[in-house]
Amino acid sequence: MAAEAAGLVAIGAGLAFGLSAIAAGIAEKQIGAAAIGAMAEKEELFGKGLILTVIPETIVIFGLVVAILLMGLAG
Amino acid sequence: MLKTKRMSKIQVIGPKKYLAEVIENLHDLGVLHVLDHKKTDDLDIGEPLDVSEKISGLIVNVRSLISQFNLQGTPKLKSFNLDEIETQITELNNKQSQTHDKIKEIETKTSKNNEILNQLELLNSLYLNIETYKPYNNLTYYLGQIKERNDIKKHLSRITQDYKLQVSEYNGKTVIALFIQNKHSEKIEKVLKEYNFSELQIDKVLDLEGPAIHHINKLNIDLEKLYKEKEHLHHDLEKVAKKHKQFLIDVEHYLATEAEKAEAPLRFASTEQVFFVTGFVPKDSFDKTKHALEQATKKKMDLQIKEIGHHEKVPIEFNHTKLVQPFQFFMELFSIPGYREIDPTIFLMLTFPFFFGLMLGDVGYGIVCFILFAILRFKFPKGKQLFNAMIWCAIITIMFGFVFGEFFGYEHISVETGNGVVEALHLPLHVEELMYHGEPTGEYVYQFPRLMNRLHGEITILGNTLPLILIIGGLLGILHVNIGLFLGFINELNHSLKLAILAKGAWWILQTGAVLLVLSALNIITLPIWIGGIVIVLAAIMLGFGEGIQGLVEIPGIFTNILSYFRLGAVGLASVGLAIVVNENLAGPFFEKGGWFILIGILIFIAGHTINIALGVIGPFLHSIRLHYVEFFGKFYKGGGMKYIPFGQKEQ
Repeated sequence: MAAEAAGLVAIGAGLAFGLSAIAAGIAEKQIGAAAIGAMAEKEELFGKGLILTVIPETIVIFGLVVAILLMGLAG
Repeated sequence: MLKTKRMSKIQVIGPKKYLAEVIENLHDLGVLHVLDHKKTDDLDIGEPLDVSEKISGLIVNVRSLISQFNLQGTPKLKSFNLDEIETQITELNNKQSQTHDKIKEIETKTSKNNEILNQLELLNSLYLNIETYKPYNNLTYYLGQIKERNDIKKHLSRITQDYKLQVSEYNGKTVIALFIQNKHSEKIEKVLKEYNFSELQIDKVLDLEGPAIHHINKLNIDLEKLYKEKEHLHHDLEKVAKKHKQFLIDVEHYLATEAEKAEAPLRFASTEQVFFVTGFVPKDSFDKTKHALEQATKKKMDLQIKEIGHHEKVPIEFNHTKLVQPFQFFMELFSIPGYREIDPTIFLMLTFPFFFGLMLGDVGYGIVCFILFAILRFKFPKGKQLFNAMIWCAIITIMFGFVFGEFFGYEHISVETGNGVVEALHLPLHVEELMYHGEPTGEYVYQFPRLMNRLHGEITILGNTLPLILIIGGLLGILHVNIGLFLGFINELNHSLKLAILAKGAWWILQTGAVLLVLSALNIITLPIWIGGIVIVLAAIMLGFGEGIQGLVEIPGIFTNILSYFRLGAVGLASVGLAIVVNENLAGPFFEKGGWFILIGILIFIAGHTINIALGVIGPFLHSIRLHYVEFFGKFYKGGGMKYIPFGQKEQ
């Protein structure tokens, strides 16, 4: 039973991280495309474009933190 | 340090007589950020100085020469006499255009001769003298190429036996010359059509006589001469270009500067007798400016300090020591600060490398980054600022590497491997038994000294065991966000104390409320839960007054902002994780096999760590800068300043 529980926790951690990574990817895809478009018009927007593009990165970080916490709590 | 350079808004009024001198002096000083005058009904803009037209004309000529000669180089600062420039440039231009015309002429000749040569070669391949192709009274000839030569004679002899046919190969095609009596021409044309006959022109050579080969030889000699002549001319041009290269580049720079001066009055206001210049000078350059202008006009001018309007845009010049300057790059990348707010560059200088180092935190990686950025700094002088900042980051990375005791992802080194090195260098490493999930494994290693273990360091909060590094990230987040709020508070103080408390102070009340709520809910303090709730509601009301709807919407934002700092730990854990995978799972097994496998192991080790360093630079860089731009600046920074571009500023 204990092994099964640990396995389920691991799956949960994997899902937390993987799904949030996919979500961040989807979000960044559209921002990145728009940022490249804006940069083609005005090159100085590189900095702002880069920053806007990495904003959804937070989603992955939260996923990663949740995964680490899950693993830690399951111990 | 905390504010950009203070500026004085000045207005210079002087008689037009001294306009040129004033411009000259302002340009040399290079401190006045000129505010362009917009034409109004009362006050027109000035007219360019008289020399402007001449300069514009010259500059067009010089630039055309530079582009014709394809010149590049760095200009030296030099003074020239306009008349002298004019004579020299005209001379150069004439020479250039003459040579160019000659080359054109030769090219026309060459292409004509080539055409003749082609036609001659065609005739030569048919072994008939050129005069054979003169028009006849009762004969017609066909000269051209056909698809194939098979059976053509048979077809012709069906019409007549009385013909002359020459067939040969020319340029890989079958060509024929067919002479026939006029009366057969219709039938012959039908036959030729079946052979896809297409006529070839020899119109250029019909006035020649004799065998074609004689003319070919002569023509080839002619062509050779033309080519040589052309080459010679090109060589001449190159010599001229080389000789006058620096002169042209210097002149172009000089003229561009003079043109800027000559056209400056277009940016000034002007009446028939006087001109007005309005602009900003840094406060510490004001006396210098005043003195220079008084000298230039023999005190026949008026210099006033104007009051800067409450919402007027003032040009921004950073005011930092050499240490902080590299970080201006990040401000310019985002948006330069406004005149009335705090310039946070110094905070970037303090926390950006700190966050970067905390995330990467590895002695080995730090050293590699340091060398890499030091090389890049010298290779690309344009990116000097950025690379200087990154060198700081690398140094902090090495420091955190020692804090975490990590070297290329290794936390310890096994006794067998490390014995020789440790003893030879007298390294103060102590031997420890390796533990796995709290159980001794019987394996002994040299542990690297450290203040905390990033990967396994844990902290128990309320009975939950949590990774210590994440908690450190969160705590840094609380600190950083609150510094941001504090800066915002000071910015708002410029407007009013009331606004500062309502818009920024309320966030602290909100945080206090949240802490009270959580602590009382967990029974750590004996306080009814609703007290925390009331404090939060109070803060929300204040925010509603201070920042409006936007403030209310952002209430949960402050907590996600703080949570966002967990990345300080998480990104680092991911980086160590990858390094350990490279060391233990990818390269490790090869090292253990020994022999030739060690070589493969080393290759994998290098490749793996190269990738991890690349990720480890990009990741922490973006995350660190983003924490500043989004979480930190979001609390106080408005930006949108106008860059200070003084008149006559030397190009960098």
